Amino acid sequence: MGSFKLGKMTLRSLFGKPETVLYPVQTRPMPEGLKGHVSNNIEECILCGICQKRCPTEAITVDKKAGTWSVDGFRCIQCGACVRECPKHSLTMEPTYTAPAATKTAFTMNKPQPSEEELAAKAAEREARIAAAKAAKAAREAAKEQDA
Amino acid sequence: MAFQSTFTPIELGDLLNLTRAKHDAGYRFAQMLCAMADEGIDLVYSFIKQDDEGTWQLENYVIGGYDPATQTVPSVTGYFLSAFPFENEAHDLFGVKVEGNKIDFAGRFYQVAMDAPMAVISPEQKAAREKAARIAAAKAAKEAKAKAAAAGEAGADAPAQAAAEPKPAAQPAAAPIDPEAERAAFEAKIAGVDPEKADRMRAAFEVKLKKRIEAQKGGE
Amino acid sequence: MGKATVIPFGPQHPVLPEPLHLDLVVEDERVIEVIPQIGFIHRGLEKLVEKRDIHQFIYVAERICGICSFGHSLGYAETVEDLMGVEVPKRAQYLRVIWHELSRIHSHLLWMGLGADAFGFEALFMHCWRLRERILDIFEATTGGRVILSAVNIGGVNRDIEDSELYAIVDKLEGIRGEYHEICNAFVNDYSVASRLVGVGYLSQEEAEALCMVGPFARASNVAYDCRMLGRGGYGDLENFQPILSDEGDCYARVKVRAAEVEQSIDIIKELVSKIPHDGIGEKSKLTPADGAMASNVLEQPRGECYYFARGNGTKNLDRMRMRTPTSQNLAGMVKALEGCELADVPNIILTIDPCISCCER
Repeated sequence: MGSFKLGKMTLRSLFGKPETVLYPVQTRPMPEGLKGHVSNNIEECILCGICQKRCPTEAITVDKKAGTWSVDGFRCIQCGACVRECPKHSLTMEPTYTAPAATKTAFTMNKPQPSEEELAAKAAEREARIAAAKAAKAAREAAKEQDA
Repeated sequence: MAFQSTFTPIELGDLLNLTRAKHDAGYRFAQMLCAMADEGIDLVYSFIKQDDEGTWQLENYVIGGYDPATQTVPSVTGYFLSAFPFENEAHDLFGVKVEGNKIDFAGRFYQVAMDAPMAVISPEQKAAREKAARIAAAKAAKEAKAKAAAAGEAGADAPAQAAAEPKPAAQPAAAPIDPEAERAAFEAKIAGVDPEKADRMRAAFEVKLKKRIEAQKGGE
Repeated sequence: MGKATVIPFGPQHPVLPEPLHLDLVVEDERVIEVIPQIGFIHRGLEKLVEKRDIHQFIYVAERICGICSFGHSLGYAETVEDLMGVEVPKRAQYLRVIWHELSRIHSHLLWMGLGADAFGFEALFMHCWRLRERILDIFEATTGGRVILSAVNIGGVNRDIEDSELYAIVDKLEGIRGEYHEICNAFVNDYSVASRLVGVGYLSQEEAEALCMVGPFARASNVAYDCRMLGRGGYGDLENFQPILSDEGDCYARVKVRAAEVEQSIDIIKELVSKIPHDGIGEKSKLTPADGAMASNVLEQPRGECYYFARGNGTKNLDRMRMRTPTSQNLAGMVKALEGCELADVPNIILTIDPCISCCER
């Protein structure tokens, strides 16, 4: 008899667990390496702009002066080029997709500006370094004169 | 089994003879493509066959510099019917005039908004090409200069010695300035520079050169 | 003999997933002439090489086709590597072939589903696509994408697959093989399938060779040509590769060839996994193609031979990139196969060619 070749399979699907999930109630587990959306660890980011240059869809904009980094999730194609190119490894691909929205908006991050105390501390450090270098140079020259 | 691809330039007039030969030799027609060249369009026809030693030969024949305004390309659909989509494509996207296509759509194969969209050279491409040409020219000029300098040194030593023998007392006079040679050297130096800037530099150079020549004349 | 009538077919047609238009000249129920037309969705992707550099263009190449997307990125990368003389480590080549064969399995399963749908076998269609989901899950776990994988770069691949994971993939494929046999049993032994497809759209070997056909379409007419025989990349290390042929030349033979190719792909993956070397996955090349350098390449896509041509101009962009997809090569064969068939068989014949018109018009 040549008919009903799918019988076994059909019966199995009749009594087995369904292949599909009830979507909004249940969701599929996302595998770890899934390319969902780009996220930036802004603390690490040096706003060099390489990601903006490498992005094939021009989804990333970096403004060094304003200290902002933004990605348009609706332009992004999740290719991961920016993640691979980042010199500081501050970019990562998170395994969740960009949520649907009524309007297309870009997601912007501000790089925290260093506070005045931090700036002052940095400046003081730099001055100390310069002074130390000067002292070392003077010492070297003095030693040279003595040799001569 | 190995694979090898080759590129051979041919003339437009030889196309049909070549296609007939390939057809009779049992080649498969792989494809036909167009590419914009500096002048006109390059047409590439490809055939593939396994040779006696078991190597697959992908043979590409390049017709360089086809001019769509004056020339027409004979269709190869008489030998290989499967070429008809490519010939229609060449007509619709590049403006190549194909004669005798077996299934000819007369420009309605691709529903595009303009004629020959692929033949348009975009500003980005033009800029990139010019930049590449400038860099290549600068490189070539540098090499030529290095070569000339090497040759000049080798050549200059011998006559200088010969000239020095009979008149050892003579003062080594300043070599007369050769404006043409100077200009050539300068052009080589600015070959990689932005055209506007190059113009300004050239003007400045001319003034300087004139002054130097006059100064030398006055000195004599 | 009745009067000849022209019936327009497509681009919107229940059986066609692709925008293909045919003018069928019909006498009574018999098709006597066919004029195909494509060109409704030309996207100008080849022109994009001017704006996207060689590394960014991989993502454009992938988007030529939604089914053989990995194949296009692979073919593009191989061609540009040829152009610049880049060496790819063996492990990267093997991984590329493994992904490419996985995408062949998924493409053939998709096609078998569509084929079943075309002759009205809904249940078979659902089962084919259910199995295809498993392959997509493997893609998702190994590359992070389901259809557009972005796994290849020029000089290697972006992600490595751990050996343990590779063995798990082989186990999973063996599991799929069991269920796949049941599906094949329906395709090959069910009388309703045979009654729709046997003897329909016949093309002899001479005709197939004269029309330069490629892919499973040609192999079903006994044309022994499969680009995997050329031994490019990881395919060169296969012990024994023989293209799957059939000499029947009808729609049924095309189904059988594709059905056997799925199993062949599973075997190829199994063999490569068993001897995959550990010499790194390669790095993105930093070279730029030389001015006037040309390279051409062929690759066996699920639908047949795809031809790639690249020419450099000394910048980081290519001067010209050309992809000749298998469907544009098979259009002439399709016209020939349709001539003389019954009007009711037209959908089946078109589908057994596995047309991908979107591929055709880049």
